[in-house]
Amino acid sequence: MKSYKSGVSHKKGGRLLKIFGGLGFRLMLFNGLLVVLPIASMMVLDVYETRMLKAQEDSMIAQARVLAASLEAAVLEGHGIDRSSTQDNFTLERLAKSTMESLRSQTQTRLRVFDQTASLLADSILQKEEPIQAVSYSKRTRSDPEETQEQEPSLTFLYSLGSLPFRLWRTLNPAPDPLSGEEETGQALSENPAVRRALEGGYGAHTQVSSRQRSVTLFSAVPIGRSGTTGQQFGIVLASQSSYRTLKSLYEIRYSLFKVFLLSVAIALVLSFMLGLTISRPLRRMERMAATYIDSWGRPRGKFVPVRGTDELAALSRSLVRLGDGLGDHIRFISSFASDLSHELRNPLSSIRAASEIISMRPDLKPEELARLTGIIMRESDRIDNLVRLSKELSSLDLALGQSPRMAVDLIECLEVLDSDWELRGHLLDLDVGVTIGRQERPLILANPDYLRQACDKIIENAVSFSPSAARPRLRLLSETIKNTDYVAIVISDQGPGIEQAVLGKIFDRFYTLRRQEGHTGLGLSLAREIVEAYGGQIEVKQNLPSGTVFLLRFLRLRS
Amino acid sequence: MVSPIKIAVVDDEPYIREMLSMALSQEGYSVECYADGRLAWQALQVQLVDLAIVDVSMPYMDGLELCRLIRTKSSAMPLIFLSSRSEELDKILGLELGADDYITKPFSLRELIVRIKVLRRRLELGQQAQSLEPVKPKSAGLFIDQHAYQAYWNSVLVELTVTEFRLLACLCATPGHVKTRQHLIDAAYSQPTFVEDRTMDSHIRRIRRKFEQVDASFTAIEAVSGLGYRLRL
Repeated sequence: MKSYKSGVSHKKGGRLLKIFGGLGFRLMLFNGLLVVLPIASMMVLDVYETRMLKAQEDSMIAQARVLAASLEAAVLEGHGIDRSSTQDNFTLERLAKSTMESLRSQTQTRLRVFDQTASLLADSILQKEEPIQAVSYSKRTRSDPEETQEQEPSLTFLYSLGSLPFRLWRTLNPAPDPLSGEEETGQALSENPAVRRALEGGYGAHTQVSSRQRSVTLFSAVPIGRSGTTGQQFGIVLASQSSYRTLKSLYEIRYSLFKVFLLSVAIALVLSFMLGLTISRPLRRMERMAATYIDSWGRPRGKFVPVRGTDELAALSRSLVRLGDGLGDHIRFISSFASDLSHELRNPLSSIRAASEIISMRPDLKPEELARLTGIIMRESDRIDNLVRLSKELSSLDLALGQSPRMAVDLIECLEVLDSDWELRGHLLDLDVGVTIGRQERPLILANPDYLRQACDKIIENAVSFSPSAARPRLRLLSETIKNTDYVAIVISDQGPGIEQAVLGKIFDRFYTLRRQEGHTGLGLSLAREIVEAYGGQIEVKQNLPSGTVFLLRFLRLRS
Repeated sequence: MVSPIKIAVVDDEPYIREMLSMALSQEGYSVECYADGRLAWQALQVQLVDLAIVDVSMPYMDGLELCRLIRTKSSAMPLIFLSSRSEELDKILGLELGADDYITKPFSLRELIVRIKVLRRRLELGQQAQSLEPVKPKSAGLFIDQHAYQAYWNSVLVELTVTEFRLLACLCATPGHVKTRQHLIDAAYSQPTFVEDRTMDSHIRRIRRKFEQVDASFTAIEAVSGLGYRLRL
């Protein structure tokens, strides 16, 4: 039977190819990429948001501290002698206002200075002294670091589409009500936890959720004073900034990621289509081959062609090829066996029919003629019976050979058992296993010892029946190396009349015999061949010189 | 005294040889038996017989090879094949070895004897025709001589085997009517025999070819798809 390369035969690179070329890996890689991409981008965004807000807060604190420190220094330096609180306040308010004036429009943080009573002294965006500012106020509110929100980032169509599930989620799970709205006045700000904490002399921070927008306002408050030698506190600096800018950056990133996501979905669709093709195309091919494999009568007519590659589908196709070939071989075996058997049965049937016809046609038969004819009918009936029994044995051997366990068989032991068996049966064999094969390495082959002996038995039976009664069939072992492969052969030879060259090729055919009248069925050698071939061996026959026949049963030698 | 007709029986089955020898001797034939083709050929080379009954499967030399060898020596010697496989029938028909007839095992002795007699009569009629004035039907078209088992097309003799003649005679009985394959099988074999449809088709093919050799435009035997054959005259 043909042997097809299976995936197992690609030894070294085979395992890697099997893992990475496999369908499982393909599916895993594909689905993994689909899941990892959005998760990774979420994680990046989360980290980014945290970092941005932290940086924003740090910068606010730094600004507030610098302002607080400079105001403290100015207050202490300029008015160190008179330290009445009104004077301080006055000085502080003046200094703060002038500092704000110069800072204005150069910082994105809204800075406010409060005195100890939490009343607003100066604000970086509200300077009432300059009427022009009032005009520009409306404009400047657009860039108010705390309030400014140019427009909702969600207005882009693509973004609305992408954020739809998140918006739905928010609608179903509304955020808790903001504690308070955004207040413009310093008075209300005195309630701000950050301001309260700073008035007590510590650092205060507070995040206020906006009632109108999705952004939050960060408040950081630091006291003025305290750090100096006097330890006196003059007021506080409140820095505030909306997280709008951060959110805007995040929006832009989300928007880009969403575009990447859409692109990856498109690529995924194309890839999955191609992946689907690599699976479905060979599957369809195999389906077609399987559908046309048997005809409407259930006879195998088609042929499986292996799919190229190393993946599971290719392995499946190779298995199908082996299955098809095995099935074909088996069906051919059964049909040729049935044909051989029916052919073989027709001969004794012909004799029986002819003998009965002669008996019925000729009432004048002599008693000895009648006895001869009835004798023929009896013998040919026995022959039919014998044929049916042997055929049953032979057809069940096919199954038994496949099911019997195979093991390492030591041929020396096997031949020694045969030798003693034949001795018990009254025939001496000429066995010498040490002549052509060294005793150092045992000649091992993979087979079932019982069936192997049965095969040898059939050939020895043949040899014994052909040899003169005194001649002993010779049994030898032969070690051979053909194309770097080690073989070991059982050699059985006799000194009988030999087999003519013309029929040497036919003697292993089922029912082929030259001695039918002696009761031979022609099944013995065919049985021997079947056993030898089942174990991957070959059987050969050649002339023994000067007379007789040599049978060679050659098997692949196992390394001990 | 007329010497008896000599028949050679070639079969590797000893009992079949014995039975045939017994039955044919009883009919007045002189029978020579051989166990295989090689032994038979050795004897036939020395002296030919009047008719040979040859088994297809034999050791050393099979029946087909023996037939080929006999035909190198004589194209007239009648040959009947004994066969036990349908594959062998295809071979006998396909190789066109010039076998005059064949019979499948297990066969009836009566049937075999009838076939031998038909072959003999045909041979005798042929010899008479050669020695006497040739008696040929003068009519155009098909003429069938049921006694001599001979068929003529436009007054020309078409050499047919017994089976082929029976098939043609069956078609001729009702010209224009369709005969099914089973109908034809029943007509061609006197005993119930299992013959595959394709064997019947190859018989018809051979009959057509034989007629075409006489007349290239012969189309009288028509295949009726799914049914069988009919003769259109």
